[in-house]
Amino acid sequence: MTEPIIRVTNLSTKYGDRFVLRGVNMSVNSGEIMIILGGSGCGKSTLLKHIIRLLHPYSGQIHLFGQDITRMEEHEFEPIQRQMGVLFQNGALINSLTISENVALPLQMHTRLPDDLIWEIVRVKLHLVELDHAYHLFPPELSGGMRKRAALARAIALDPQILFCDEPSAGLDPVTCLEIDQLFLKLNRQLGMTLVVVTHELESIKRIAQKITYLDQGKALFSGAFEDALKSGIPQIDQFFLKSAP
Amino acid sequence: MPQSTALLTLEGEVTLAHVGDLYHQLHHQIQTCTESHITLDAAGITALDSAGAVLIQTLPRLAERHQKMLAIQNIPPPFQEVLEYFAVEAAAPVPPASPPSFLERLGDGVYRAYQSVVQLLVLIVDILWWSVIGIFNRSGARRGAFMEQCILLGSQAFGIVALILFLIGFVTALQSSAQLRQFGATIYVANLLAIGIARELGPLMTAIIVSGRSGSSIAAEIATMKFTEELDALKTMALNPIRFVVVPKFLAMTLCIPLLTVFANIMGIAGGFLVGITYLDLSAAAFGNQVLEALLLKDVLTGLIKSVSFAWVITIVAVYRGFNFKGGAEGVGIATTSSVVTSIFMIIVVDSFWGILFYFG
Ligand SMILES: Nc1ncnc2c1ncn2[C@@H]1O[C@H](COP(=O)(O)OP(=O)(O)O)[C@@H](O)[C@H]1O
Ligand SMILES: [Mg+2]
Repeated sequence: MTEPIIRVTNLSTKYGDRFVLRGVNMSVNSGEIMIILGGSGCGKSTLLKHIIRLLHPYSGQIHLFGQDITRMEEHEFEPIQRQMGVLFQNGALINSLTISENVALPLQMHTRLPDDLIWEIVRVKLHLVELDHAYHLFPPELSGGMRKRAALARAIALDPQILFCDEPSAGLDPVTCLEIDQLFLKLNRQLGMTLVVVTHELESIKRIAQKITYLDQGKALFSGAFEDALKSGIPQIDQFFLKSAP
Repeated sequence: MPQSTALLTLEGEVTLAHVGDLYHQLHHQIQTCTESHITLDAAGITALDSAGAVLIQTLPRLAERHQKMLAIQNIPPPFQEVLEYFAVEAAAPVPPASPPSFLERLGDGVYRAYQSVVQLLVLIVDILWWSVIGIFNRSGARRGAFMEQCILLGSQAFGIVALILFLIGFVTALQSSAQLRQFGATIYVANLLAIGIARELGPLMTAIIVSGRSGSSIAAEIATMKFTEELDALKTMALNPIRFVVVPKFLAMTLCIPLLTVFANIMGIAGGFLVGITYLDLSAAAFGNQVLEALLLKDVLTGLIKSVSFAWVITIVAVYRGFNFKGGAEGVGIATTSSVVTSIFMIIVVDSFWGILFYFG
């Protein structure tokens, strides 16, 4: 078997004195969709932030593309960083730039494409998230859901190999949520993009999940194929899928 | 006519990393080829992403700009799908944002100035109304909010006001003694200082310091509350934001700034006193008597009236800027800065007004 694109080994971390993650293991192969789920405050965002190297672990290793990013200098990490897109929980658009400028930003900073191509790409990406009309608007002029979609357009501006999303559908209506899931599936199937998505939405999980990692109080109770999770008989997971099922 | 058709090929990875080079290369080839019809053979593509798709779709338009026709053929079927997915044509064309004309901007400016004045007046009336109500009826504000604000305000400004006024008193006494000494009238340093500080420098400097220290934080706090929708939350709980948030601050300012001013006056005179008894060799008793003789109750009172008016200016400007906050987190910074700049300006305008009134009055 080939080396997984993301491999988290025995990851532990703490804020102050309190351990937030305790020996988490997880691996994602290229082209898979991994869902991270668990109760709020169980450390999902924290795990994600470690994988994208915003936080440094207390112990354990994280391999991206086969390289251990916990033992890397900043300049060594940069090329890897360009292969990843991140959708933050709150969008994190730059408020002083228009939506189109936000999406164009990574293209302008990290590629040497001619301008007209950049703006065409921006137009296409905004069309994918159905924000054609928001081209000249500023982030504060959009609703929360629109901001999130704009942030998604920015996250996929560079066609990253791995896309990380922190609660992409939180606070969105079911229709938009469905559209975003379809977008995820298209990106996954047509471009072979690997996705790591934190979400609670049961519908969403059923639609897109190939693998799941279930976090509970900083421990990964389960990490593996979605079907196996349903058969695993772990009480918390059963409860999650039964309770939230109608 | 097959002779007039040029054949170009596109092969390999047509992805973000290579699209820039491919674009320039193809652009050059399209420009330099002599035939008017170009066929692009895409059979050799091994990878295609959104940037590549956009490249392929912009090529015909690029060719058109050079009066040539470009047709693309043999795109491998899996990539055909990618191409359709990232269709440029489907995306609505972007209308350019046209800048408004001079007249439009002028009209807009006048209209906005008018609106600001109306808003400001409404705000002032609101604040005064709810403050008067607030004095008699505490139910609309959190209990202890007024004391909290007083303590906060006092502790923020106390030290810095003391230090600055002491230094100002010190320096003013030194400067004036240099002049008065020529007439052998150094004792009048005490008069000059007492009146200057009580009437002008005490209230003015205190107000400027407080506007920088506390006015700015009021503007920032209200702007942040607006940004995080706290103000809306208050309204939905049937709490009036003016009454709940602004009135305690307004009343605290109205009480604390005059108190700070009295204290500032004392510190200023103490600064002069130090110069008097050391550098000018005046006796402590002589200096003290001179100060008391020179200082009329009227001087102190006009100073205090001024300081109340400054307190109102600072609070109203800060609250106005806070409520008028726009945009994201950076708007908070803008609201804060503009609140300080505006209130210092307004303080000096109001001070001049009082100056004229008391001088002729
Ligand atoms: N910057 C921080 N400092 C201290 N504790 C934090 C910080 N960020 C998160 N935490 C704590 O870590 C735990 C996990 O947080 P997080 O990963 O954001 O949870 P979630 O699974 O809801 O995304 C929570 O209990 C939270 O209180
Ligand atoms: Mg979170």
